[in-house]
Amino acid sequence: MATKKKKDILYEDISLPDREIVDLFLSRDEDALAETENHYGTRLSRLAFSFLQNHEDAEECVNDVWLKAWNSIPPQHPEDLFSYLARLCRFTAFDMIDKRKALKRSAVVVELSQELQESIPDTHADIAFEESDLSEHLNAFIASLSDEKRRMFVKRYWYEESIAEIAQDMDRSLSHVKVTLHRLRKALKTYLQEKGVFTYERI
Amino acid sequence: MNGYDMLKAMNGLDEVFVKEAGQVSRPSGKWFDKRALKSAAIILLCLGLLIPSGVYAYQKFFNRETVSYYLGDADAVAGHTHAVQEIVLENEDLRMSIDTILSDGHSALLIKTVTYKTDLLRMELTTVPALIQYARGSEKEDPFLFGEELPQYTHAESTSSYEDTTGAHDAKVLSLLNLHKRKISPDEPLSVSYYYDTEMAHLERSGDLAEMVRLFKQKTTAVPAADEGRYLLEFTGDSGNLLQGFEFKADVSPNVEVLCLKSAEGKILYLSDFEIFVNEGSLLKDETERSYEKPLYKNFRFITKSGQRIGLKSTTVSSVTLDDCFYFGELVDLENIAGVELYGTDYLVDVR
Repeated sequence: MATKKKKDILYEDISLPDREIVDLFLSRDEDALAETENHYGTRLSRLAFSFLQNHEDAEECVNDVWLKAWNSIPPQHPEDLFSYLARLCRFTAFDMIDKRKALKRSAVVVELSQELQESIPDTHADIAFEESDLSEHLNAFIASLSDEKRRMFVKRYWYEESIAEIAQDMDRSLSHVKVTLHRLRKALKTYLQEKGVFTYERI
Repeated sequence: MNGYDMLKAMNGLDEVFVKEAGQVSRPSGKWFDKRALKSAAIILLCLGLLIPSGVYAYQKFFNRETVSYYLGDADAVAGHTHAVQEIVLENEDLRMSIDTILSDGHSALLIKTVTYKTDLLRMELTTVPALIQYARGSEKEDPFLFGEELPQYTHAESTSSYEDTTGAHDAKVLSLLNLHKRKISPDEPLSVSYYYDTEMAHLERSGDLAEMVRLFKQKTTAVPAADEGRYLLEFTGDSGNLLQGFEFKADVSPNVEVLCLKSAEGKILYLSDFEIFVNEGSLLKDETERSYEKPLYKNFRFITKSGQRIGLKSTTVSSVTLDDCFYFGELVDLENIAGVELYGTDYLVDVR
């Protein structure tokens, strides 16, 4: 991709809508990558960094995302390009964490894992589970929440946003966000208990 | 099944929820104003200020230069939970950013950057210890000096004379607090506040007297000194204007790893990312070791997992030793550490 062109785009038109960027992907125009990077590079880098906490790994992760986007659109035709890229980023980052055993989990991942640990009904129940089953339960739980709580939960545990970022974005106080998330984790635990997920009884 | 599995299972979240939460909320459409963004991008490009991708998350408040100066690796610091603080205390005269607070439960380490907004202040406060840092663990406790146990380390490019302020830079300040000795619970937030030590300022000055009076004190009088254009400032009252309202709550809950190390004789000491410490007794071989001439770092080596023994660099911080703890003056990656050697005795990892 031509650097000059990328800069030109940055100066001349920085708000090309998602649809037009996706069209560039579909027509195999390499400007698609420059446009995507201009639009979402910073947010994705930030997302990748929150998972990996290492600049080189985050850069590698985001580069993988560009490649995966290039290879998957088409046949994919994402309606919301950022959430599509963010999903690729999340998958790629977790793959990197899992594959590289030596790679220390980032503080954010550790912190969020500890928080979600509170939602597990029985942490001693060593039960084999399908990640997709758990995802289904999570989707059902999240679907049952009010708009605000749903957005808050996803921002925290999908986008890995800090409490401060969520508070600022949703125009709420820090303590409101903290308390709400705490209650949501407890509610999730109750939900999973009621569904008989991850308890000895289920075995 | 653990929290990480749960976090990973969030990968399978429905597209609708992801899209909904990913939308940026802003109070007005102005944020996305094309011209404003374009102008900002051009200005930033011209200034060479476009933030490299990846560092955005903590660029705003995190002074990498200051943190690197004291701990060597700003990236490593950023990896610690709540180590990167989002606290900026600011008025029209100076800006103080609390860059990092690291805590292992035994000690807390605070790094901040002080930026002077006026030449006069920059000239005045090259002796930053004049900015006194008070702390208290609870409302009932009396305030104490944060960092009293060790000198507060300050690095500022001093001016060669009062008239020449061109060489002055932001001040980088490191303060250390022994939580254990003060019996401060690391789980409670610590109230930290600042004031200007008028004793330190009671020196011969030159410059704009009216401005000096405005900065430091309502009730300041100047006594002409022997040299023309210079005077002595005399302060009355007990509080200055300069740092009014400079206070914050510090989270000193542990955010670094701590390893328990044991010698063949069963003596225990603890190793964290920035210090070694004991909960009882002393690290020192004898009283004389406390002196500046015999810093502990000369009798200290890290033992890596590959068996290498590595000493510490001599830094301002590492050349001071307290009884029960010893600060490295750099951040250590404990992943590769199998133990330490202290006064010829090996202490190896007992519990990781």
